Amino acid sequence: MKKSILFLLAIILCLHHYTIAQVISTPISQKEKQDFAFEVKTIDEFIERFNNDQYTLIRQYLETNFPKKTFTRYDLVRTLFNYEEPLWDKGLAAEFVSTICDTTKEKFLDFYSDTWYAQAECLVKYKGIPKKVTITLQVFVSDRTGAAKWVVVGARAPFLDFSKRLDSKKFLNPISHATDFIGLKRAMEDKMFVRNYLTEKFKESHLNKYLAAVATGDIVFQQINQVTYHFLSLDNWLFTAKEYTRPGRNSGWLIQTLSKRTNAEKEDYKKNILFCD
Amino acid sequence: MVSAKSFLAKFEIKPVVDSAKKKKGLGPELDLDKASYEQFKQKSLQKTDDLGKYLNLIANKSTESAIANKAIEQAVGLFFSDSSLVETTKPNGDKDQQPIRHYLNRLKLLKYSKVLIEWTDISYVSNLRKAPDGFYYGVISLQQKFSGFIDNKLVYSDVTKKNVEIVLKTYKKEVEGESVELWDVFLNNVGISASRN
Repeated sequence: MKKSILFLLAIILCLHHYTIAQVISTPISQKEKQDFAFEVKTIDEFIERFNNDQYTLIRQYLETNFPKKTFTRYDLVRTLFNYEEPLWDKGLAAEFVSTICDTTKEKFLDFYSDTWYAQAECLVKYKGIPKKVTITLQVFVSDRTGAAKWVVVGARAPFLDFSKRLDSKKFLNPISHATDFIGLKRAMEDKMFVRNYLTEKFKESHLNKYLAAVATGDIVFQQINQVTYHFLSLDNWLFTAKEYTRPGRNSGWLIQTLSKRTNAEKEDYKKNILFCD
Repeated sequence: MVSAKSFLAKFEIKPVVDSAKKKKGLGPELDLDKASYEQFKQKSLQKTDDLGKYLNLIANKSTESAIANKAIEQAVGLFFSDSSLVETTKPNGDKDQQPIRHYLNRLKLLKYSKVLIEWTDISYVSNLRKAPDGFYYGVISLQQKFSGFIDNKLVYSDVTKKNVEIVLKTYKKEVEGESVELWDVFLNNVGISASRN
């Protein structure tokens, strides 16, 4: 049966390669098989290992291949860090692992929590020109049915930003009403200094601007280049996970960055990094 | 078909929170117990096995066009809907997405004379998550090696990871005058990961 399954997947690949080159075939090695078992293949598996869930593939694999060894949650969580050119501090990581694995007050990740985010770096065409857009998503769970879905909570298209230039000489004078705002036309055409004519309370909604450009057809979505997950759910901690596609056991979805953050700092992070309006 | 009573029925009314997860203060996670998880996994693998047989027919040079067309219809029937997508990669590295039927029709035109596959006997199957449409969604990750031959010459080979979405769907059927709730598994979107040539 598995042969057929893999055949199916192989066929899927056939279509991907329009240009064909002759290569030498080598079988999947024992090491590659082992690497695949250790690879954190999806963010679901990341959360399972982080929480030390039962019946997981990694537990099954370890129990079968290393029957004499005992693996704790502490061991599993340590394998979830990226060890090649790490962007996290060793001491901080040790403190993090100790804190979340402290059996008196263990900390876990919840897939259905609203305090973690997926951020997709996307390629779009804006008026025919390739541009990058960042889209932030979050899991939404219905209280009524328990059903879940990913929803878009933020977007950032820097090329759509309004100019932030200011000029004290540019404004609608206080008597503008007397001429039925004759200067408004010029103000609305003054794209570089449009902020001069806005209230100081004005807040840009990046998501609205992005959606408006999609609606007019100015933006056409092309593809997702990369996804990063941002976990803000653990008290005083914030970490990101991204996929490292490379040979070796330390591969797949791994912790990319780790830092200590207060609740206030996390709120800033949501606004400035995740672009949540 | 498998009776929903075996494990799914309990989720239909109200999601059951796994006791271990509940203890951790997490939820509403729809974890299956070990036996049910294996049942779901085997059923999912069976579906991909069925699809593999159809693809074999579609891709085979010696298959008559009418038979290949029938195989395409049957293969599409294994998917959740006609709009299920298959991700592909162009030679320049850009990604593309094609609806399953379109994908299979193209497959019919691209025929290797021989295909050899090696795979690991390891597959990751995620938990099932209930979606707003009332169905349950999961993912299977597999690693495979593909070798394609033309006129007995190896022309392409690589090792890749595949993430295949699985949808678990329930439905009711009259059996001897009684309405019985059954469930079945369907394939959905197929994603690809970086490959090693």
